[in-house]
Amino acid sequence: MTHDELKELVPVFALDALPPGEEDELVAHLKLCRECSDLLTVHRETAGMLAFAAMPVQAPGDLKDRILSRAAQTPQLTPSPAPVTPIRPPARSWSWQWAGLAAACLVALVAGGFAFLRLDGQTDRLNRQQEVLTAQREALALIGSPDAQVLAMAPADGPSSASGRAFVSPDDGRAAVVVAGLDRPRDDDVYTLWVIEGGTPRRVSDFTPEEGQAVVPVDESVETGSTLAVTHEPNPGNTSPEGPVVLAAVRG
Amino acid sequence: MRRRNSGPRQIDPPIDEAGLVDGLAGGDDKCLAELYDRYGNAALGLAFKVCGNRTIAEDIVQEAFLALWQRPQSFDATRGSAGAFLMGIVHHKAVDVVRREESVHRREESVAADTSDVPDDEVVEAAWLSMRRDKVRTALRRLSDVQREALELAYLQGLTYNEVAARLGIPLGTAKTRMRDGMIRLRSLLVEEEVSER
Repeated sequence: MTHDELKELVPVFALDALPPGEEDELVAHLKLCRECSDLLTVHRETAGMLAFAAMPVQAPGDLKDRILSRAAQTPQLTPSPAPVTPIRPPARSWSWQWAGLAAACLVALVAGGFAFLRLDGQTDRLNRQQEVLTAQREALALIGSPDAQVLAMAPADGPSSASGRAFVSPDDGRAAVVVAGLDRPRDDDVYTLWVIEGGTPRRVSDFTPEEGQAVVPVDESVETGSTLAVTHEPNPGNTSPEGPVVLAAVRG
Repeated sequence: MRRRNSGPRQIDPPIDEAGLVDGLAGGDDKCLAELYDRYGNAALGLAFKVCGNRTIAEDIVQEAFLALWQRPQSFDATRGSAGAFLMGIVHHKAVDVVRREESVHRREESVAADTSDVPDDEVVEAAWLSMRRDKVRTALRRLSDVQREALELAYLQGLTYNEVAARLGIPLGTAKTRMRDGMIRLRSLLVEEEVSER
């Protein structure tokens, strides 16, 4: 769905009246779109007031005691502590910067007919596109997740315009990599994302950035101690890195 | 937990709700008790309205208060009132139950008749709650019939917009539009009433 279509769903969502599929899509979008998130705040307050239209029901005398008794036995959950390494965004604006970039990449992906992310083996283009869209949607949800572990991807060889962040799910280790500032590739060369574990690289996918930017889903577990690396490869489909490392980060 | 003086038509709650939630974050169960005193009956009324089963409604209320107790930091005072936030939790849980267990659904309205209506008398919280209910109902009455119908079916009966459309025999887009326009209009009316009472 487009932003405008999702925005139309916000008041319906505030009423808890969306069916599950649409709700999931909107929830993923809300993590990335401040406009819709702010709009939801307004509509939730209105929905909360609507709640008072229901006639109160006199609660039984022991309900309060039951709640307080359960509370006494229920530990409060503290906000998740920031991981020591790698870094976690110190402020919301930082996160939004990358989230916004990721969202922009997705828009470009859809509008541009998958121009910037060319995965291998496009034998069944439609199915592949659907898979890519699904992967991108999951990646965006991960990027917007407050629980994701965030790795700063640093240029491997000194100062560079390239930068990146990897967002790793603490649950299953899957990740999404957002990169920016990459030079435009020439001829057949591509950028490739690798997971390097125990010194052995596994190719995740080749990609071609659009205006220097890309979002690359990692649909496999990135284990602690593994390295995520972006290389500039002379040919697509290389099974081991041949080109220079552009960005890298270790999952601590 | 400071109390403020409140006149007969003042809308603001007589206690500092954000302060109560701050107290929760500090592990103070007296704040939980105060929030319950204020919203317990309203929360039970909402849960019962949506799920139509008194026992399940009590469970929903219990779980909602415990959810707030466990994660008080999930409430952001800059993004709305604690009351609306809490009622949102109640509603979400109630809808969740209804959609998961259609069998518990619907309607024991006749049972509600003899269990509803908190005596307003001199209890400050009940009076405030009653005032708030009047205000919302007044605003609802000023919506168009189709908007009010769509909001009530969706929110108070826990239907999805698809179900609302099917129930009313209208296109999906029309159901969404009625809900959206109804929400926008309702907010406008609530703000208008608040301003006029100041």
